[in-house]
Amino acid sequence: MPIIKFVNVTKAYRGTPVLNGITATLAPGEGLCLFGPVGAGKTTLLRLVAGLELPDAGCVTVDDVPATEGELHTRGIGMVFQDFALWPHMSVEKHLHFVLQAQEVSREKRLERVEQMLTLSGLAGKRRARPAALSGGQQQRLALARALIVNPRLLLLDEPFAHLDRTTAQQFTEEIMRRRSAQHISVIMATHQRQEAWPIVDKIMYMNEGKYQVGAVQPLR
Amino acid sequence: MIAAALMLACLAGCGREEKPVVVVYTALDEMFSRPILARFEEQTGIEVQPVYDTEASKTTGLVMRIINEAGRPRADVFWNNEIAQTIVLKQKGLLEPYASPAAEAIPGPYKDPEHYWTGFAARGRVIIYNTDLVDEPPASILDYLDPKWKGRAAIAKPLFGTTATHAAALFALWGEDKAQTFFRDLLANDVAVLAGNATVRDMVASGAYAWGLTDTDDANGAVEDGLPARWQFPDQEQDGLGTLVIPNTVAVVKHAPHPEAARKLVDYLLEPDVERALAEMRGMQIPLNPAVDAPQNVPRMSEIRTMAVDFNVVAAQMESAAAFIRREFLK
Amino acid sequence: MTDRRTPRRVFAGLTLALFAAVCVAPLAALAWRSLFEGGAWHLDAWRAVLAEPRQWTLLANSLTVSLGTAAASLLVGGGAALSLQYCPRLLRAPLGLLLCVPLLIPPYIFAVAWLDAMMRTGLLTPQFVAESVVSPSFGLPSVILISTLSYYPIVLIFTGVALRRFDRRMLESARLIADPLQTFFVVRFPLCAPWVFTGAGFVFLLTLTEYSVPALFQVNVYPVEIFTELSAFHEVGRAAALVLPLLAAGGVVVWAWGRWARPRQRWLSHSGRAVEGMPLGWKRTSLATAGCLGLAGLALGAPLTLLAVRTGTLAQLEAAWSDARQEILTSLLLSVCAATLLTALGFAMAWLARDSARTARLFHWSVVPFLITGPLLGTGLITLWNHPGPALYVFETILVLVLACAAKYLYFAYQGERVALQELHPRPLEAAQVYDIGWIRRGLRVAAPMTAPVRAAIWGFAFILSLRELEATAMLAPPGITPLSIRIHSLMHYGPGAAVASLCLLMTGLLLAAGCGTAVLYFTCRRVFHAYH
Repeated sequence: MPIIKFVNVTKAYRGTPVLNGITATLAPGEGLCLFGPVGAGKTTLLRLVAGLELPDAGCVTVDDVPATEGELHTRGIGMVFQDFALWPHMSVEKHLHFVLQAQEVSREKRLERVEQMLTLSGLAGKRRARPAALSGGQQQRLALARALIVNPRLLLLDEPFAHLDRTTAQQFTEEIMRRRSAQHISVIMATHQRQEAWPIVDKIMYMNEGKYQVGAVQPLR
Repeated sequence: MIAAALMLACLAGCGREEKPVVVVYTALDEMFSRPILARFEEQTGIEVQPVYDTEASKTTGLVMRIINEAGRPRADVFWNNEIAQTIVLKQKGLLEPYASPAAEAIPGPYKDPEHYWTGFAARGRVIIYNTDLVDEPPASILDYLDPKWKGRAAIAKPLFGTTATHAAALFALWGEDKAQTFFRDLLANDVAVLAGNATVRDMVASGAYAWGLTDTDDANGAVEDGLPARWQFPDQEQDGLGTLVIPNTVAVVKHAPHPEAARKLVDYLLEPDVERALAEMRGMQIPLNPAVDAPQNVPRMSEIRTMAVDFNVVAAQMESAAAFIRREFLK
Repeated sequence: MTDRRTPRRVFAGLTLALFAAVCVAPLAALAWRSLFEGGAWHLDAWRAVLAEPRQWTLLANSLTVSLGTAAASLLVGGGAALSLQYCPRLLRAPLGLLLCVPLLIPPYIFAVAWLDAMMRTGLLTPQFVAESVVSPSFGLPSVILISTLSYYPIVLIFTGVALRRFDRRMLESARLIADPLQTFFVVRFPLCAPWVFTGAGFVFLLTLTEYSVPALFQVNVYPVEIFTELSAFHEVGRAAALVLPLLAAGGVVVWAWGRWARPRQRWLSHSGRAVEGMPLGWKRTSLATAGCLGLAGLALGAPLTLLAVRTGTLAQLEAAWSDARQEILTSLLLSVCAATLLTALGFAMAWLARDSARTARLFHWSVVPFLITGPLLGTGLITLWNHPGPALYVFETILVLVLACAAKYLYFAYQGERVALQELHPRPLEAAQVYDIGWIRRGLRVAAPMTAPVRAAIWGFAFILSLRELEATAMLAPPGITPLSIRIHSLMHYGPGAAVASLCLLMTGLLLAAGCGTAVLYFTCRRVFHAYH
């Protein structure tokens, strides 16, 4: 059963249609890349899946339940926002602890997972720093770490590697691929850099001026 | 921008004096003193610049201004609605003696023998009582100590205004020991200490308290408003204390910027017409000049048994009385 | 090559001179008068006052009133700001404005009107009202209640600012993981708390130096005691000594704000993505709306209704307008000049303090004229300016009142400008520096326009505070120059109720117009200068 369904989804901002009757599905464990220029509606579609906005027409369902119904925090979503949406008053460590505490993870487990994620993201030396003291790349790593540490069923990524160097981006890509194969997590990734999405996704949705087209990923030779 | 703002403010005050001016600090409520001063302005062509007191200050604000401005006074004339603070100013050397011809008709106890101040248009300290709650009104201020009135009487805080003068008068009359005992017993009898004479009037008229001490102008206001309140002079029996009668006082400020105009204003204020006008107003000020023909409802000085005090002695007691009151009443 | 440092030095010199004239000189004059008049030190009076056992009661009462009002305002104002978020969108702005109106009514008028209204409607018996003004057990809570109803809009405004600045993405990212309660306590509250507590701190300072409401309910606090010392005993030295506990208490709050709240206010900055308010369903929305309306009714209904009833007819209002036209114009001129001076000087001080921690520490002392209470400030100004010669151009004109308002509220103008400058993105200023634009021009042509919205708000608040000012100006008003607030208070004891009420309504109307004008100015500046953020 598909985890996500878009049924004739339409959304406009100030009279300008951004999404125009999008219909598509995403199966469990599948990866979808949303690709298009700035203003194509990639972020909007992600927010609709997360349940943070309502479509003007049509429906977005997750496990056959409309995305805006029910409690947002019970659906196992991890999301990386385009501008990170970090909490300025929390240190790096506190960010990761907080999201695990919300899931009622025991203290020992939390400590273990936080340490693992700090090592993976290369932020162990900045564990006590607040976001204002981090560079753009470090903030992005923290945003990714926060999304991954909760072991989400569905990972929503909005330009997740825009500020990362190639090595770090590669590390995170491998981690996401590992989780896709081990845990069957589904991924929707919005980007205008296709090559960073290829290893992670199975399908690509081209979006532009309200139109869209879905196709399978064809890696470049 | 700063310079423009400052210049604008400055210009707003400059160049105002083109005709003769007299500056009067007046503690008598504006609604009574303004028409009196307006008539002086009409008659003489001298522009009057009044500074009125505010409810918060009750006279003492103006006294404080005169003291603060001593180095270079702004005021020409101080028109006080009571007497003790005027004498305090004299004692501090802030008044100028002036023997006004109009002062001759004022009886001796109500003017300074050295001509620093002259009294006129007085108020009496009276008992106001609620007619719905009281059949037989108290006849003396000593009834504050009567157990039958426990928790049912009120007095204004004796730190400001005429109540402060009244407290100092009791200190002068009885001596410190007896006066202090009286006030301690008053508090022990749960007499309510309110913000001012007007509050006493309002609370008695509303029925919150059965009776209290206030001034004739406040008491008369309650009667004219048709409230269930009446008043009477306390301690009028043969061997009684007598009622404290507190005159308005007028004085020339030392080094007044407009001394000529100041003297003219003093002369004017002491005229019989002014006392008559003040008697006819809602404040019902009692003329001190026996020749003044006041309305029927206004008491005559000849009919009042007054408290026999020397106001100079009362003024001398102000500070020690106030220190005691603050210690006992403001805890 | 011209010396770039000269204009900066001149600017700094002028700013420091004006700061000294407005703020330091009156304090020095007061200190001289209270400590050294007559050629001898008067330290004994200070020692005697501070050694009195009554000081503990005074301190306890003052702190209880201030802390109680701040805490109550926090709950009421903060709660109202949150509730507004859940009101229907179209109602938010008008309800928000309505809830802010109590701030425009001077607390004394509020207290008298509220008590009177309650008595007239029979909701309070005369006995209860009497108890509230004589009994300490009633007096303290009454003061806190009335002061809260008057000052909660300050916390409401600061909380509203925090909520407007709150980037909704921070909330959304938390809501994806945690339940609403956890999200509130771990994300929303800590981020808004510095702003909310800034508002509460402001309320604390205002209540600490408030005279009229405690005097009405006969609660012994320091401003009442200072007034008594000046008025009943004419003792400037003793009155000045009583200021020390106020300085200590106010100083602690100011220090705590500087150390804890101010640095954390930067956590929330303009993002353009304010939290819209979660849709809650019609029941909760109705509850939120009803709550806001109920608060507005409680806070405003009694005083405004009573003032309107007592005014009686429109003719009475017109008569009051004609009678008080001069006082109204005086008040408007005073407020315009004071607000302009405060805003300009506040910006100059903040711009100077930006580059010098030592200068910033010096300017912190601008809080002292506010804390020493109006009568003492007035005494200091009289001592300073009442001399023959050029000083008369100040003392005999409205300028002395302008300086009184400026001295009293300079700290708030300065801190407002300082916060605005600290939130400025550094890049435009760095770019100006790279293009060799001088220090003064960077301030006036780059920083000032970018912080114009905040300046508009500061100007508006300064205008309103100056319009309401009474305690310092009552001591100083030159003969023939009477602001409206003094006129109202002159009539209060024995003026006809209708005349006083109509003047109060006029004052409220002026303040309301000023408040609306401030809001329009602020939002216009935001729209015009929004591109710079």
